[in-house]
Amino acid sequence: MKGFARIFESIIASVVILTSLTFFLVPNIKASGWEDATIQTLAQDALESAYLNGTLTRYVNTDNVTSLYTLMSQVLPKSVDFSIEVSGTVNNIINIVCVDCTDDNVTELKTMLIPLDFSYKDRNISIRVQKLSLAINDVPKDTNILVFFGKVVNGANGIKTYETKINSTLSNGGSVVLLSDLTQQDAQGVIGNMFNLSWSNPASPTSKFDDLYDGRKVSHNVARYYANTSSKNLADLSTVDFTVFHQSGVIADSDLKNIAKSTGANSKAFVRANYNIVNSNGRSVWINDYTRTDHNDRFTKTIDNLTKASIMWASGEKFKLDIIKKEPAPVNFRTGILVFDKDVYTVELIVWRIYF
Amino acid sequence: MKGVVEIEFIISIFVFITTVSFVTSIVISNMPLFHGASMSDTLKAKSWQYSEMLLFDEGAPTDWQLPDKDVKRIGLSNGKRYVLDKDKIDKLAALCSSGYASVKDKLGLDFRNDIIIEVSYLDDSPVTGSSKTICGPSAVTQIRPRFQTVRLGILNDADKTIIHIKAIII
Repeated sequence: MKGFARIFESIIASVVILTSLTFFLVPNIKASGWEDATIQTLAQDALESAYLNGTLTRYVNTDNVTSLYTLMSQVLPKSVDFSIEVSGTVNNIINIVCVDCTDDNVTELKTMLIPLDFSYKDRNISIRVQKLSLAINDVPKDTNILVFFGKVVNGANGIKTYETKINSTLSNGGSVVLLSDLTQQDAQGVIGNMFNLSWSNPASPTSKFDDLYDGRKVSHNVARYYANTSSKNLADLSTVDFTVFHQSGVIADSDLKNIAKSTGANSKAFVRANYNIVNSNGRSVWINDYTRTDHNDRFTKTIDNLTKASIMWASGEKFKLDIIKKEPAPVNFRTGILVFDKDVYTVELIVWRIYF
Repeated sequence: MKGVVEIEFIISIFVFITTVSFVTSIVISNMPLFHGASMSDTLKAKSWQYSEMLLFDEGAPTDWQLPDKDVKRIGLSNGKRYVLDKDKIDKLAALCSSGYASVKDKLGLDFRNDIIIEVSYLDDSPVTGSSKTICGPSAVTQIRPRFQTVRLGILNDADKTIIHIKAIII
């Protein structure tokens, strides 16, 4: 009996061994990714061809989303959906929410930005201003910029009161613009944090663009918009002075964020930007208040133009050219092209599979 | 008891041989899968490679589309990225209709594969002649695996028309 037990035992053992071997010998063929590569290549071809063909720049310039959609639908497979994003140039529509503004504030803001519909390098740009009480409303989804016309809103610090809603807007890629004189207390509080400001003794209000030619600096990008909207060349702006700002004690830190600052040592900032504020998103611009009694006055007009150019930068310089609102699938392919037209900008094509 | 083998030894030999046979049979049965995947990837890589060559290479000599030129290598580019020469497309179609084998040779394809080249406008109409297919074997089997790579370029005409170029490797 002992011998049979051993034989039986060894048979069971061999069955166990053989069964376990099947677990380790399953063929493991990993997907090569050619299908993904093919779609990505085709998307890159589509952008390059449309750019070389001239249709891409024409459709971007004329905001012709229908024709752009038709073109891309023709060149991409039916099994994918796509979204087109333009970045590096001013948005075609800039939606401004004037926070808790009066009708007079809105009229004044519109006067500063006039004309609201204008042409920028053959593109039609439209600035739309609406007033909104943030205390009882949420920020509309298509808002590009929250404008605070003065730091005091309903008797309190507006930036502090609405900090949560502003941060949420910034986190979603929106911007905030504050037009106000500031005190040391402001610069060292919530406003200082949001707009990246520091303080010393107030100084002379005459200022210039920080840097006209350094592409890394915000001042260069704002100056490009300023030059275009005031029919000047970038080189002409070296002689432009902003003379009717109120006094400012905001230090023009040695960074990339000053837009207008006084010249010489210990210079002060009069317009200063900040970016990547919340979750690496969002832009802010603080504009020191200025004499605005007569908008036909050439000195006031100069700063009105600067405000407009700053608002163009604060638009986020990123917009979609989709026929309907689209949210790309979590797995998507992004391909881009640098467009050298009258302006230099990037067009990105985001492609994703409809069926998983 | 010389010459007598114990039953345990016989069984252990049997178990060993069974295990080795089992493992071998599993490995052998997996071979076609690996081979198929490898063939498929090779086909995809070749298809992409030929699409790149047709789209971005000018060929040799660079003006091979001209009459009496000795064509050494085929490429449809006019020298600029994404720009295709209409004359080269016409010439390739003509060369192929007179002898697919010689075109296949100039493309560097061996006997194992065939190529079908299609060129069409975005509305699917042919760029040259009456068919989108400008080059391909006279008889095409539907059984062999194939992979196609679709590319886009522009013609060197006044409108810079966008066209599809498709390289199908069989």
